[in-house]
Amino acid sequence: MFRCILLLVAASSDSDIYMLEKGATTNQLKVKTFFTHSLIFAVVSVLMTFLGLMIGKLILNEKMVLLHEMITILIFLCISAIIFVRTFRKEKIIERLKPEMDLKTTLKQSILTGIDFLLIGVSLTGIGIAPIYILFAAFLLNLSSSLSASCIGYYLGADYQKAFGYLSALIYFVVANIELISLVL
Amino acid sequence: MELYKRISMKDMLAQALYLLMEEMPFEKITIKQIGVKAGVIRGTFYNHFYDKYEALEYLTYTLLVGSIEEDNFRIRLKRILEVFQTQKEFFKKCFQVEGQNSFEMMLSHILAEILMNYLEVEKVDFQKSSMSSKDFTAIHANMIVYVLKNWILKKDNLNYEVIYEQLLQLLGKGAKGMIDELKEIQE
Repeated sequence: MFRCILLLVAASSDSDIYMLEKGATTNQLKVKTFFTHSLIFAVVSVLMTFLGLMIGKLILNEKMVLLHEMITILIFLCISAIIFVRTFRKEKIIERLKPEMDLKTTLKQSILTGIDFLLIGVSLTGIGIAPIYILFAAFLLNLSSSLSASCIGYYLGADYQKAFGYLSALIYFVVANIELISLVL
Repeated sequence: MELYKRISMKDMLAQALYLLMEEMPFEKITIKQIGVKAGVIRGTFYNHFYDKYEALEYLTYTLLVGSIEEDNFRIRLKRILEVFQTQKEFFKKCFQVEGQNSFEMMLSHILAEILMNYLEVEKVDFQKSSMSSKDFTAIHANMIVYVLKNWILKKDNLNYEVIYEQLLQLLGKGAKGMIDELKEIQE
């Protein structure tokens, strides 16, 4: 369960970075607007996780446990590397007033960032946790972290964008290594 | 009788930016730092400015235009140069702001506005000219910016009155006039 939560937190970082920027470029803390946009991210993350769980159930079976583990480790290491490089290359945002928050853009962004949840859904298949709990955790974690990120952005600015990215990359890397060690041992 | 001068939030934020620029380069200053210095939350900054570049432009405008109540162009120019001399360190840091929102561009806009006001006060009509008043003020503003930048960033400490005379020569006589004068001196 702990590994599951850790992975879901890492997957939420993409949406957190987006909401952090939105919070940092607004002049008013519009709770309703931020909640709506965070809800979009949360709902899409649940749908993507569910899709991932379904895909995992379809393509993987009991005989493929080892292959499943190896694929999981590889996926996490790749995601870690991608996020690290993306964060490293990301230019510092110019803090500029942009109060408008477009639902269409948020929906597009949520689908793009939801790919992590899809992959996590695939990797969490067959770990012994009921899917409903995984989906509930995905929803709650994403919603709360997106809302928090928007508040952090509003009060503290966008300086912490890179920190979110590096933390997420680290989590994926650590989980991948934990899986690798448990596989070897 | 007013016992104190009212200061607006906009001016407070601009002052905060000025104080921060004494401590660190402009590029490193964040909106949060400006807010903290002014004693307000980040969001309040955006109620007055679009970004920190706009705040810098407003600050410069306040220093060069707001504090000088003078209609005569020559005297105004002299006062502006005096401000540049007294705030030399601040303007040195300002000239380091480059790129899309460079300080040179900001200063050029401000000086062009001052020149435009002067043309309006003098009731100068550009309708029969091949050049528009906008181009005229832009060219001369850029010339003044070049002279100012050179003066501020150079290590020699020329007095503002020397720069004032240089500018009067350039603005008053133009290139041909100056060349003719130099030729006469050589002869």
